[in-house]
Amino acid sequence: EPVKLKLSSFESPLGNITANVLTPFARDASAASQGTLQIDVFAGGTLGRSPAQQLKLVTDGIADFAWVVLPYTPGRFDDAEVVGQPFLITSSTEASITLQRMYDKGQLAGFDGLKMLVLGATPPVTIHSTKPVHVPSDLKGKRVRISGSLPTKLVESLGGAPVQVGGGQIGDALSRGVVDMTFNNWGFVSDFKIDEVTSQHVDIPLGAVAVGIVMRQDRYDSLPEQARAALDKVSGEKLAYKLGQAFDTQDEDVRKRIAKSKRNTIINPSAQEIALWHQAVEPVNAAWRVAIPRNEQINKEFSVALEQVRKDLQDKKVAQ
Amino acid sequence: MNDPAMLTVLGLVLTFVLVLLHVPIGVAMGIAGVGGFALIAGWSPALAMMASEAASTFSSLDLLTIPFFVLMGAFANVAGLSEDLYRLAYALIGHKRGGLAMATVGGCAGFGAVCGSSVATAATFGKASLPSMLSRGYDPGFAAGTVASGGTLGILIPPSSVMVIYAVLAQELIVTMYVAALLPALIAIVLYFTAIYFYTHWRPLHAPIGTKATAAERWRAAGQGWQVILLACAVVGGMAFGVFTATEAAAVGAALAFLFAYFRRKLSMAGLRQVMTSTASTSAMIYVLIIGASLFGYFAAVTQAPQALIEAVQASGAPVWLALCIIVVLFIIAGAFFDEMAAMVVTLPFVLPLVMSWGFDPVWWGVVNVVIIEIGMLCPPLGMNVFVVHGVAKSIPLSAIYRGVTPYLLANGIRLAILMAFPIISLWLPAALK
Amino acid sequence: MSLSTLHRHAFTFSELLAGCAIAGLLLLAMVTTLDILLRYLFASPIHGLADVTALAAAVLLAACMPYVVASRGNIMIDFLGRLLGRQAHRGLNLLGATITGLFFAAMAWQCARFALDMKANGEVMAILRWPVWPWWTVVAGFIALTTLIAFATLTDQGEPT
Ligand code: NA
Ligand code: NA
Repeated sequence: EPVKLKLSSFESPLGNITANVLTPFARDASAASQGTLQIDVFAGGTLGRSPAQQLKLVTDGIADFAWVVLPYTPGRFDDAEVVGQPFLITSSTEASITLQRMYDKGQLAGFDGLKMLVLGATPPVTIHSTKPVHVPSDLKGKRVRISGSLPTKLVESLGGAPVQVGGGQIGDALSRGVVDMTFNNWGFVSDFKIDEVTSQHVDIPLGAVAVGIVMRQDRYDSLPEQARAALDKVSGEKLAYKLGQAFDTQDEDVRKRIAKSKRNTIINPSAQEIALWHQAVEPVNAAWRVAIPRNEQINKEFSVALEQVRKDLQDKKVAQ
Repeated sequence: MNDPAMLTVLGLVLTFVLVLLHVPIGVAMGIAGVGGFALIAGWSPALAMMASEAASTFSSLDLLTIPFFVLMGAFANVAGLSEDLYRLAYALIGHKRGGLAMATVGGCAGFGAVCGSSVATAATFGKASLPSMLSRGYDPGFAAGTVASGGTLGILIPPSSVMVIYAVLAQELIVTMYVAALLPALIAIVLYFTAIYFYTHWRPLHAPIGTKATAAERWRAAGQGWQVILLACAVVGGMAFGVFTATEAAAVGAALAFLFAYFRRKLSMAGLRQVMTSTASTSAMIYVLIIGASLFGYFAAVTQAPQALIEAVQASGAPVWLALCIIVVLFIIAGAFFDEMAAMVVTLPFVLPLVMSWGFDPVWWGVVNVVIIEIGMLCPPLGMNVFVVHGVAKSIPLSAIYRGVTPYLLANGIRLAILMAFPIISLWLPAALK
Repeated sequence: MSLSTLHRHAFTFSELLAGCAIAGLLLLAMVTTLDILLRYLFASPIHGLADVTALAAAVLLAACMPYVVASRGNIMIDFLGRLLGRQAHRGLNLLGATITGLFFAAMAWQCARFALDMKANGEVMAILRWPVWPWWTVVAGFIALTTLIAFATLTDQGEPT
């Protein structure tokens, strides 16, 4: 009789991560457990609709695993906010492996009592707009859909008006002019059909969001040894790489598709324009680094780890 | 307990037993949901679910549109906007055969654009137009039936609390649901007018012809009616054409309706008290229902009974249209005896996955559901709107009102058939506006 | 204090609380409207309003709960009571109200745990970074109050006359 575990995802069963990461993870772990484990995926929010509720589902024991977006519980995982800095990371794969390695080394705070099967990051967000945007000053006076504290500060510092709109309502808000632009990654743009209501896409990496699969440490400890071994076998850096690949592949596919579309224009800013963006972003990143003493340290450690990951990715020295 | 399907059936049975014991429906579903979940996953997580679900329901910005719209409707009522609307519609068509009934339906439709509730719209027009129809010699049953039926437009024409609940539970956009309901609402009004036309020609004595309004009277009525039209346009237009989100539209509507009531000097202490208590009671009632339904829904999901149901229906080989018609008929029967909003909410975790497994659009099913609820609110023995109008005009017996709603029920039956046969009517406008 | 006086006081109190909650809701509607105006006129909406709106809504709606329980405003079906006569009707009302009270008692207990959890985990609002636990504590308090009101008006048949 296998131990039955429940994995909750607020994303639809057909969503990129649920279909390409969570469901295969559940299948692989069950297969590797020699019959001691059966993981059922409850997607589409059937165990809890609200994305913000997912971590609580696990800590309360309603689900055994959940797909979580860390900034939905602000204040709990402040260290992971390091990936939110614009221009720091350029892909989900490198960010995910870096975060996972830091987590494995115990460098990140806030995870006491939790076991992350994977800790990763989305691809960086880029700007998707109904009006052309080239330089930071183009955001002045514009209504910008935004979430997360770092990008919000960036928009505010540029004289834009941050507007908070729920994930599913962004397309609507754009098509009806409630907002002029939104910061999202390419996969999200495709999933929520944002490319159908915007025409201008500025391809600069403006910060990512930490995500992961979480379970309770005591739940993990209570599992039979074979089950734990099976989970260990399919999780960690290997899963971080898979997660990053799933995100980045989708990102690349969408970017290619949108580049071909007649209605959409992908704007690749010139070197001078990029310099202006760097200038605009630097004070926001600097403010984050000194907001609390710990951030400076985390930022340093992350940068060092990221350099190593980039090298390892080139040399194919990453667990796969 | 290792048979999940059996457990789900037990959960449903427990819900019904509790409901029979005078436990409110939301609470009954909550208890069955938590109890059932506890049997599968233990008490600690099941009880914790009560708090996390209450928290995400109470703090949901989508659901917040409901109390805002309820507040808007209550202030619009106190401000006398419903009387203005009726007067305007009356000045335009009151002199035709059945004109007062048409004016009532038109007034209800207009008021439905600022009020999200079927019951509130019926109660409002029970005061605004029923006395006028009776004093002009209308048959009491037909007049009251017109108000009860016109009132159901309150949940079809946006804003609509039922559609918000459906949108939240089905994870659809509120605005999409609202836009999808616009053409069906137009069809509803046309069919109601047609029903009035045929009925009043068949029974001319039930609807005497009134005097024709003079041009001056028409202008005066229009002069008073503009405010409510402005309010409706600001809310629905602002939402459809992109000035603000659904939640913001509801907030703007509530604030504007309050200002109308204030500047018209209609805010007596008693009126204010009425607004406050009715808004609190209606909102809290809906939130209890949603929390209970969500708790039951999570229990149903964890038993994996919805998948089992889909597989069973597919294995039975029944044609889709037949299965769909059976569901609709069962819904109407349930709605006749039961509260129809609760019936929708209880069954959604099972019915929606089934309908979607047949490849239907959940937006279309939402519109169909609203129409079914409208029918249920008029059907004996437990037609909510009929009760409400009877409550306003106690001298008119229930049986007479049920007789009066019959032509409208026929019109609703035809509308339901049209909407089910042609999903495009519900789906075209949302797609076109994207 | 006689039982009927207790009922009356409990009812009046819950009505007053609900009135305050809806007044607060109206204020929230006006602030939201102001936010929209600021957004369009000056491109400077109110900082972090969405953060506060969600939590304020939670507090205000929880404050409406005692009234809906005291006034028997929840959707309920008294089919069996009508069938079995007056005496049974009153008995079933009492039973239904008791079960409702117990349901809210459990919810109050869990909401208190929820608030403590939020405090222990240091959760804050996304933009403003204000702690969220005080808001959830107030919510838990109102649900506890709902339980008290439910038991104080247990033998009541709805609005006092
Ligand atoms: Na309406
Ligand atoms: Na009914």
